[in-house]
Amino acid sequence: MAGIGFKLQKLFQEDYYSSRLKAYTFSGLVTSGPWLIVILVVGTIQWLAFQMPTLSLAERTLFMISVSYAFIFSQILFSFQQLVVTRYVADLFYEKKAHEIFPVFTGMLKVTILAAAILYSIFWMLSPLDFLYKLTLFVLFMTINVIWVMFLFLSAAKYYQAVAYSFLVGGLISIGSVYVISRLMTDPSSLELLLGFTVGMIVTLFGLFFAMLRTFPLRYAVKEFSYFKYFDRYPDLFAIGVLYVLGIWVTNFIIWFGEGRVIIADSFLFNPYYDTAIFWSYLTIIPTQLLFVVAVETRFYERYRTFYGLINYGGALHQIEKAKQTMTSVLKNELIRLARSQGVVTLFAILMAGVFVGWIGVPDEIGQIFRMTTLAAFANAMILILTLLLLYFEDRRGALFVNISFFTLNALFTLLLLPRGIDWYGVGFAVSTTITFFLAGLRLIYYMGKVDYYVFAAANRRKLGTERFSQMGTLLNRRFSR
Amino acid sequence: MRIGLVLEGSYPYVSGGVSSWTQTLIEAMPEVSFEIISIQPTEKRPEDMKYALPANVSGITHLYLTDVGERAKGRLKWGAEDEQNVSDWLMLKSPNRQALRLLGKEVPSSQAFFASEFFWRNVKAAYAEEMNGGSFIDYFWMWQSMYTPILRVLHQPLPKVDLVHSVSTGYAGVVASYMKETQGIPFILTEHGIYSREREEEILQSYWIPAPYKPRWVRFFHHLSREAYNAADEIITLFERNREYQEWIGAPSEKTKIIANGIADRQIQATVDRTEHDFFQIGAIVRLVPIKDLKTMIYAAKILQERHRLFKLTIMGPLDEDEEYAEECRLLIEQSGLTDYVELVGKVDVQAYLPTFDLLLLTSISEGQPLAILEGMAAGIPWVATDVGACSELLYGREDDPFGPAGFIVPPVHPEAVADKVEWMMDYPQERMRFGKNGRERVRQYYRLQQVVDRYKAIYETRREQYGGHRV
Repeated sequence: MAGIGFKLQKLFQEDYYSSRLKAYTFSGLVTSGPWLIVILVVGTIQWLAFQMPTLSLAERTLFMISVSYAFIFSQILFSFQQLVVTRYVADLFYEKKAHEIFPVFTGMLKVTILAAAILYSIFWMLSPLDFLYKLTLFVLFMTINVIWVMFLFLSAAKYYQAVAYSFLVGGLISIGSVYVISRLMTDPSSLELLLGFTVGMIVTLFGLFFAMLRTFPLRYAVKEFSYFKYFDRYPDLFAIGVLYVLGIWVTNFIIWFGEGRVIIADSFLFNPYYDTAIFWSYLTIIPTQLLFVVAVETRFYERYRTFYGLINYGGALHQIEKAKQTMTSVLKNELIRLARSQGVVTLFAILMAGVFVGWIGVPDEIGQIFRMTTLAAFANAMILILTLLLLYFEDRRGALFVNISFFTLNALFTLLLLPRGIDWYGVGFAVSTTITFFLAGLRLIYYMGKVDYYVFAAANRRKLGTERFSQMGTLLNRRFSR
Repeated sequence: MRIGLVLEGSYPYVSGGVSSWTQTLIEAMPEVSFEIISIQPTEKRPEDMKYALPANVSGITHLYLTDVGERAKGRLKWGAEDEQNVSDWLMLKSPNRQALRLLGKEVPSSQAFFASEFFWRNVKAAYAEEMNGGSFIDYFWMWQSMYTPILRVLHQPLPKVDLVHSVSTGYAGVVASYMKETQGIPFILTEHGIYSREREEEILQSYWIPAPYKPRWVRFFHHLSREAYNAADEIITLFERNREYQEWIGAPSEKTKIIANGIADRQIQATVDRTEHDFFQIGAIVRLVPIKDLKTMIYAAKILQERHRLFKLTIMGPLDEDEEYAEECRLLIEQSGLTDYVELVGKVDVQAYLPTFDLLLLTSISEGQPLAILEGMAAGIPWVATDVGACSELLYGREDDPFGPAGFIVPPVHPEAVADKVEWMMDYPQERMRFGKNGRERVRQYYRLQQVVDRYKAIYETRREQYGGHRV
């Protein structure tokens, strides 16, 4: 019988997992460094503003809320592309196609700028603020949007030092310029504060930009929109990114329409109690963000690499199973350690809330809400970590499920409890994040139990879906990018 | 009546023994309609055909073995008993048509099957059972590459027919067993070469299959053969030795049967009387490929030349099937100084050449039942042939054969033995003529095409009746 041959095929030829792990970790979490600097900068500027006797509370609040809006909405815009582009860039690095990364940067930048401009023009039309203020805020909003994008690429390239220095220098210049303004001007306003802050952010932007140029010496502008195909390939990553960020802010959005809301300068919705409480609560989870990076980088990463290495490079089944057990138990220990450390911080923050409220001199309601939102922030941090872990193990389905639950429950509980007024603020957030935290934990336990099965079976769960975004990317490439 | 003829990797895209047998069978039964079910590794186009399809071929159903990357949709919904059936089959424990039905009808997609926990459990269990700590991912992929073609052939549309006739075991046997099971029709199996033995040799010689996996691949193909033997209503082969192999692999002896190849009556000639001529004329009807071991034949010619015998060896057959080998043979003839003795004439009309020969030679290292020997015998020419396939049975006759030898059998790869027997034939012309006559008588008695066709017709009819007659 004339030969019908057969040959053994290997799908996994190299260790792809480690590179993905790093990409996700740092795009997801190294954020805490810059965040910390930004928060400290804003805090310091606020404190400086307190020292200005001629500056009214309204002007201070307008400045604060302008900066917050710029951050919140740029983060939401960023979330539409963050995970998908991160994955695309990680794959390019892995495939040793670093020269194709710069066009992705310019492509993502163009899309971001366009989206931000459209969003801001709506605000521009609706807001009665004066021209100069709107222009300054526009510059700030654009700057922050661009910073996010560059931040993603520099993290992927592991150029952390440049990132940290840029934020630090920019932050110091922000503080410095506000300080100078307060000294020179007799009657400073929110516009001056905003200008000072914006100058610092622009400096950060340029710092990052130079770092980009140094990191990516090969700068073509061909096929800038090829990354669109990853929206077809990983629609779940897109959804996870968006749901997570919207899940965080959806409670604020809803409460902006509830009891105690304030409209600032006929332009911004704001809830002084809830928004302030949330702001302080998120400061309490900084330890988790730092500890998690350390835990992943050191103890977990070794086991993770051993496990996938054994699978890819021909380990025997009993070796794979043993590596799986080791990895699982290390992961369990790290998560317990993390939850314990964060638990102590969170508990301390909750217990001391009353003392701090008295000390700073803010209304008691903020302290009440703060206790709830701090609990929620704890669960939220855990949800983020579990989501990332699920992504490391390529359980996109699980991560999606977790983030659907995160967003939906947050929206639902906040809406349900909204009519009960300010006393119940934060309760919905705390309850829903806690539930989601447990769901995510259960999913991770379930998935880890069968992670070896999923590694092998996943190769057969290929999706052959639509090509809508790929086609759009090709079209844009042809029109705008050679 | 419509018959599904299942062929693996051969007719109508590859020429050779099985294909020409198929063409002859179809042409000999113009009243029967045949649907060709052609299993191929890759896509075939109409222009790839090596045969003109006879008018009674209703069409070709192509089954491709390679994976098409379908989407993993759906889930397996099997009970414990179903899982046990399929599991035993995957573990190569025993033939089980129920398992084939499940794999064909109850699997939503092959991707879903390979992604299932059921499949995963089986791979792990089998690995624990048979491996000693080899690479697990390689083992996993071996399983997938083993069962992908099975699922592929079962998941492609199959024609509705009255009877399925498979011309080998292997994937073709699986398809035929499955059609019998799902359509409730009779299944006739004809095996020319012993499929599982051929695969076994291929696997053992291959360098691309890591040694630890070879036993499983061998067992896998034996398993496919057993499946076909178990499902088939009749197991037919060309000669006794193959029938014994089939039994040894697991064919129930009450189902086995020999139907040899046949020769058309017009080829069975009157006596050829050629006693006087200058050279002793030797012929070889053979494709120039390594399995035919032409080099042994050339070495034998060299020995004869060294013994100062005068002869002319004419090798007839296509030179383009393995051009490298053909060139090696040509060089060997040249370097041995045999250009006046041995001639490669390429593809010629064998019937026109036959009457000029005193003797025919075959030095293959592997054969089924060579049509060439039958043609030579029909023309009344004696043979010297190697002891492979059915050669001995053809030249010496089966038990109770009344006609006597039609030539000599020699061991394979033994030029001296070939030369000795040729010399003997040269020295004893009377005996030689008698050998030729014996052969012709045997062909006339046992190896006529009409007999073969009649027996197949009878089998088709009987089985069709037994299963309830026409349906398509």
